[in-house]
Amino acid sequence: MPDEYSILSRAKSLGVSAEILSLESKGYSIYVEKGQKSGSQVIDRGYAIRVVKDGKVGMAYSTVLDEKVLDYALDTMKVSNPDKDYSLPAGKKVDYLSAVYYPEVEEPFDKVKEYALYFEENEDNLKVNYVHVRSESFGVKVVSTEGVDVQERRSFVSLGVAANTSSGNEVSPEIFESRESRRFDIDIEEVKDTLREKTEITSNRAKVDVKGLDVTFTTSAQEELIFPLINFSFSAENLYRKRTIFSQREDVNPKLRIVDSPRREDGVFSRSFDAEGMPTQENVLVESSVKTFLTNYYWARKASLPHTSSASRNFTSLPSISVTNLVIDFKEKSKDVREGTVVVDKVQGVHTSNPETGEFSVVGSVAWLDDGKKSVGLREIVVTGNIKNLLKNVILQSNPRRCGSLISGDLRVSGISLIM
Amino acid sequence: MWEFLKRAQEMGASFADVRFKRNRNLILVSTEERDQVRSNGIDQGYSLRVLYNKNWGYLSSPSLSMEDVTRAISSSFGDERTNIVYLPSKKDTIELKPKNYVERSVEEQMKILKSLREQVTSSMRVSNVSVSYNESWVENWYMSSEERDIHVKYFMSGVSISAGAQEGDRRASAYVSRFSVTSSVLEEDLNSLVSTLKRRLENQLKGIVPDGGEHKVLLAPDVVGVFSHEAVGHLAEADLATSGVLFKNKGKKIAPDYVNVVDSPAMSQEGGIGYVPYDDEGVEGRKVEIIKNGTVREMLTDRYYSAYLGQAPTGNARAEDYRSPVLIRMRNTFIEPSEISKDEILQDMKEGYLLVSTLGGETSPEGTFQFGIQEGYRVEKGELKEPLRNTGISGYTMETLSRIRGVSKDFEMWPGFCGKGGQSVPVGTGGPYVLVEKMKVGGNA
Repeated sequence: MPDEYSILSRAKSLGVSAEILSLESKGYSIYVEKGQKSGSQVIDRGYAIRVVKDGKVGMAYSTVLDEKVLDYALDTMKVSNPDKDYSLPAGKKVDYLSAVYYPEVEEPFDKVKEYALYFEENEDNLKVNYVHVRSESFGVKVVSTEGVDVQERRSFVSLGVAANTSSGNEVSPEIFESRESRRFDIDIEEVKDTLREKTEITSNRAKVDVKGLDVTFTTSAQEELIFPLINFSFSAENLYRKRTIFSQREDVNPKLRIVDSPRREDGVFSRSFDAEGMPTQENVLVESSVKTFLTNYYWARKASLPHTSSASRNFTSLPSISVTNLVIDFKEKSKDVREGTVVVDKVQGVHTSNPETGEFSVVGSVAWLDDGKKSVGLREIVVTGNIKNLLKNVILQSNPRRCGSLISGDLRVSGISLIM
Repeated sequence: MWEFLKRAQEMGASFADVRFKRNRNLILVSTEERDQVRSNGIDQGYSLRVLYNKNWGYLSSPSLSMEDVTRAISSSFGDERTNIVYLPSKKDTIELKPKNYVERSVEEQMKILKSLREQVTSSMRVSNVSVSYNESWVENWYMSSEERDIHVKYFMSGVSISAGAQEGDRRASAYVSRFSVTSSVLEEDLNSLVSTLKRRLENQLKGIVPDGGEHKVLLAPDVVGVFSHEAVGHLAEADLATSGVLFKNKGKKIAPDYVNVVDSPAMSQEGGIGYVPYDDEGVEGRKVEIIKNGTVREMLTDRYYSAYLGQAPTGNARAEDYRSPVLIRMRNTFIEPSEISKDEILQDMKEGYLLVSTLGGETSPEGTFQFGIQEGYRVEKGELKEPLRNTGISGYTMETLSRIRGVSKDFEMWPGFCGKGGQSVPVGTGGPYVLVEKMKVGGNA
């Protein structure tokens, strides 16, 4: 079986620039739902070859690396339109991060089982619907004819638990809590406590007049609603193609700072290099006004913007652009951010929002009114707005916490339309 | 693959099965400036599953060896209580060939996409446009220790177009698609896709935001399909159903007599791309009557939940690829047509909103749902008035079903892709026109 280097050598002999992305992974997961439980090992690999010649690009992928993959990639070049901005980046020195891999994930069985079993033991009425625990060790390697030769091992551990309560024919909203880490250091007691707290608040829900109240989006709600809209809106491809409502240097909010931070130690999506093998860097998207749109190598050239090393891909597609760890920071902080507001913790229907217009109309499926003394669960509240106004109208933030790919505190926002 | 199943049994597994999945996939994209092959390759591998000490264990990999049998057994986890439905031995091969397939080079395929793209850009001012072609040659091979040997092959192709436009401060974006497992989409007349896209963009640019609140709505087949899928179908998936609201109402009447919701493995209508003659547990697909004459009847099951609920197997266990575990998934889910015409319903409706096409939707086990709407109209005195923009609808499934006041004889199916547990599978959704007495419409508060 040929390796990456022999295939690149053949490509070079044909006068073609080529790049090979290799992914391999080994993981163990447990899934528990009702009576059905399962344990699963996945040993996976995949290879993608991208070729460029005379401004034309081609690609092919396979789970088996052989010479044919290069031939398939070369064959697809013929439908590419010539574009002077198609080329592969030259290799650069990568400053490797230390906290992206922990060897404990290589022997995951006991710990994964411990996490899963913890949620079976409930002395109270917490009704756990399912638990999914996953650990993975994976390697990413990018090599090219242009001098890129980087590889990194990364680890990932995740826990997802869903719970609700039921009474008669009524079922309370399902509360889903997830935590991610590079290692087995997830605080499972905190997860159970959070599930208890939220199921209790939402077990009795009322229709309350909430018109005109501010909305507090928890970090969890922001990860569901705000993260995908920012990810779309701050892509240089979408700026160039007029698909984003944000423009360069546009004022957003004088107290708001939004950063894509791929090198944070506590970021589960941190990486030393991006999907084109380019060294990563921190990118400020918003600091009072719009500062940066994220680019990969092609879109930096095409849109004449700084290269931010934000290429993202799996092995079945060409590189696109994506945020890694998104950090939202607002200057005005308070621990009482939720008081007197409608707190939205989970939203339903985010993928029905329109990222090009920034408009969304989603259901706050887990939401409550915080009147300062108690929390009153709200039944079926529709939250309507657009991402630009939402960011403009942020007025307060609590201290940050991490939820998946987002690091932010609760955000209090005015001017959001609420329909009960 | 038989040798792995035999080895698993020798090591003590009471049941073992293996799936081989091979998908040769090609995606071409033509945008306002770029033509390229976005994806092109073969994804193939195995998933070996064992029932060992009544616990499930999986091993998934691009290749299999005898060591992997040991790995599958050592992966098993549970409390030794897993019971499943066993099936008799069977050997079957099904190959569904598209009726009008023409072998075309990638250059010829791209030429068709470019022509569609030019049709869009030449007839209206758009700021961006993406025309995509996706073809998949799918091969699924299933074997089990019951000596079931099932081989299914089919071809799926689809064209989708998305575009954005802007006039002043107002932005619009719209999406259309056509997918099929019975014909090669590139050989069909795709002009209607372009005209629908243009209408949706123009409507959004001049449309009004509806009055937020509860209104009478007439749901068109596209929206009814998404309602059938999102709001009813997901609640009938046994893994979700047993903690959800639909299952609690099994045997109870929750809608008028003329409301029938089914999930079918057959592609009886164009757009029904949830073609699953055998599922990924080697089970024959059968029609499931989720709601029959307004009464909750059956849930969608895999082998485990068939045994758990004491219900005949339905063939709803599906996995996106070899690396993903089987989950209970829908196939082609729809409300069956009734007897009156769309126009009669519209006249009867008088005031409200006609909602024509969605941007997808989402539901929860408690029975709430939310859909985005990309095409809709205000209705006054039974006539269509201004188009809508930035519209969403939401509600409770049980309430909504009880509020149905009419079901038309006009019927259409639409293709879609359903996400669950990080996996995406092709599904069909559809139905007639359905009048709902009261539904929450998101818009201006």
